[in-house]
Amino acid sequence: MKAPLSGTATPEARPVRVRAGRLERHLGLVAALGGFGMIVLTYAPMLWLGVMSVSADPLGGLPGPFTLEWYDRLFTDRRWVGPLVSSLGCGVVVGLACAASGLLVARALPHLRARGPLLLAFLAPLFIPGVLLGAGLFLYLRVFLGLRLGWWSVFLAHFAWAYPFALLALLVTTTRFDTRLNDAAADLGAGPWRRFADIEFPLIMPGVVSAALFGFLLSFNELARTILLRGTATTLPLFEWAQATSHSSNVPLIFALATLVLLVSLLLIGVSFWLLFGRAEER
Amino acid sequence: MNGHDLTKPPIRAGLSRRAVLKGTVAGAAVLATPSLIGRAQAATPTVRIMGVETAALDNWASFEKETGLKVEFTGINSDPGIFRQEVVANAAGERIDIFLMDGGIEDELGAKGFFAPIDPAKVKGWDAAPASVMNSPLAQGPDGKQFGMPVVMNADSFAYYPEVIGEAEPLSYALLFESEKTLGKVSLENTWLTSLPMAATYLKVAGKQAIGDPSNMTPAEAKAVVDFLVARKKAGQFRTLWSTFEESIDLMARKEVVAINCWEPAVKELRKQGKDVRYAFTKEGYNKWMICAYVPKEAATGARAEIVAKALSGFLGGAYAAQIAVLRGYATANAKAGLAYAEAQKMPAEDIESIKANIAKIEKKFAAPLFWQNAAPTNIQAIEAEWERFRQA
Repeated sequence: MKAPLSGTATPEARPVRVRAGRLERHLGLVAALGGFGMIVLTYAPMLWLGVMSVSADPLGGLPGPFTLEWYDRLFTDRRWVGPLVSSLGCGVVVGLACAASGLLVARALPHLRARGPLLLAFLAPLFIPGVLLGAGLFLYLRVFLGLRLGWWSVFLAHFAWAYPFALLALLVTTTRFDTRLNDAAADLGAGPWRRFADIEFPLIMPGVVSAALFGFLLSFNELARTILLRGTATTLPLFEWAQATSHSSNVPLIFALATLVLLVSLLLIGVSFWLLFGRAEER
Repeated sequence: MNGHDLTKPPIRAGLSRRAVLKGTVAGAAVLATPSLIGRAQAATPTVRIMGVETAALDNWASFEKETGLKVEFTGINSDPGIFRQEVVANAAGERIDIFLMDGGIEDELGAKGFFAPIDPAKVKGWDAAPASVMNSPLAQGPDGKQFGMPVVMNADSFAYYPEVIGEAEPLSYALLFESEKTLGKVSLENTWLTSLPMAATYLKVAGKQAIGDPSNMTPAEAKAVVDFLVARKKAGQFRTLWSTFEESIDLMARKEVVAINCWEPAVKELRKQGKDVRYAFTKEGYNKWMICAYVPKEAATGARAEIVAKALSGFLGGAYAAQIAVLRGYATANAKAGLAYAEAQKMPAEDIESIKANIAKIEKKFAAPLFWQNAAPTNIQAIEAEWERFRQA
């Protein structure tokens, strides 16, 4: 029986606040500035993208005069819709597969004797460059086995890429899960399925959703492996990449489409966080 | 837990998680429906085309009407390495009826038996196209076999700001490689495919270096050209290399560079922005390129061969020629058919004008002797290695 990782359930007394010394205050200021800088670094380019998507002359470097021309072009030439829908579908499947298979492993891993080496084995693919993994899979599936590539091989590559991330996200919650709760439920006569559905799953759900989100996002943006394993499938990144060598302007794709995708992603992530952490449990 | 609190009416303000989740599932189902419905109609035969986006129409409807085929287009990058991978390693010919690729690749893939020769007799409009174009080295294999059918073509040089250069056309490539006027304000395309032959052409015509064929150099010739380019790089001639269409426009729009060996549509875009930029007529010659249609050997027989013949005729037909001319400013091998189509369809006067201008431009530029772009030169590895040396210098 392993020692539990979570604390006891008694309500905590409020700790006494110790006044911070000068050095500590300075460090706090540095940390705050650093954090703020990080946020600016992340979001300023995205905002800029949005501003440029409504500028008449986005390649001139300065915003304005403002126009919706690029969005109009995006909706008259709709060749990007197919790839976008395909990418969304592929992302959803990869996300679900990562969450489901990751859950099986992440539940068992903390209780195994060889958990260290096993975890290392699962995470090793993180350190393999994408192109190499793609080339290796290509040589194996296409050249050695002679299979016809398509969506299935794209899925396989995306899955192999996203799985370690998903597993890490899941392990955060499964290692904190107190197995004594299951023992207590068993004592009260709950079968294995009831124990999982009523007790374990609700407690590790944030990890499961994070794993699915990781799977989805990593698949949705993947290019390096997809180039090699596509068959005739076209994902959105592939479409944009092929467009980049076409002798025509892709400003609508780059600025307008990226802005739309960004807005929708933020909305999705916002909603999922709200579902996970935002609301008090309803009765 | 699950106990019902009977003291309060069961009314919830706002959204509940469950409602949100239900709504999400329903929404996803609605979104997925069109893709399921779209599968149920396959009466017209489909031609499956894989090719570079440059030759793709943004709307195939009129092409489909003219040929009686449905078009399924898979886009790929314009890169000989990608062509090789798709055709050789990925055996794309099993599922693709026509490849649209940069001309020259047939020297390798045709000769090795991946493409089937095209029979001109089976393609409507072949005889109407100029023989000099149809028999270009970019459409024929090394033994003169007709593996490719020219689809889209142009003759590239460089864009420049007349106010900075202050010379009358025809201009010399010296403005790109060796000029005080443009020192530090030149950008070259980040590929050996265009930038090396242009430098070679300049050196050859200026008599600075003996070069046989700028687009099919020997390792020694390539080394001499790159030696020259490295020296110019050290002298500060080049500001940067560009890789995407947008980048080339951006560099010129901000006047970060004043001369650039970009694609012609970039000049179209810049002029739209009100910039006085021109695309040079040159003394030395042009990077004459074409995108050709190639037929994989698997599609050369049986029912697929008929579909291929119809589609090839379509690429020499009026609908395609008129659309691609307006879309990109490029001519097809049978550009006059495009003009006839545009006039018959009563297309806008400005479009008809641009089609006419295209035809005139192509005739003038293709008459220049140098040089044909070549995606598969004999010493490709040596040339690639030399180009890498220039990039790293």
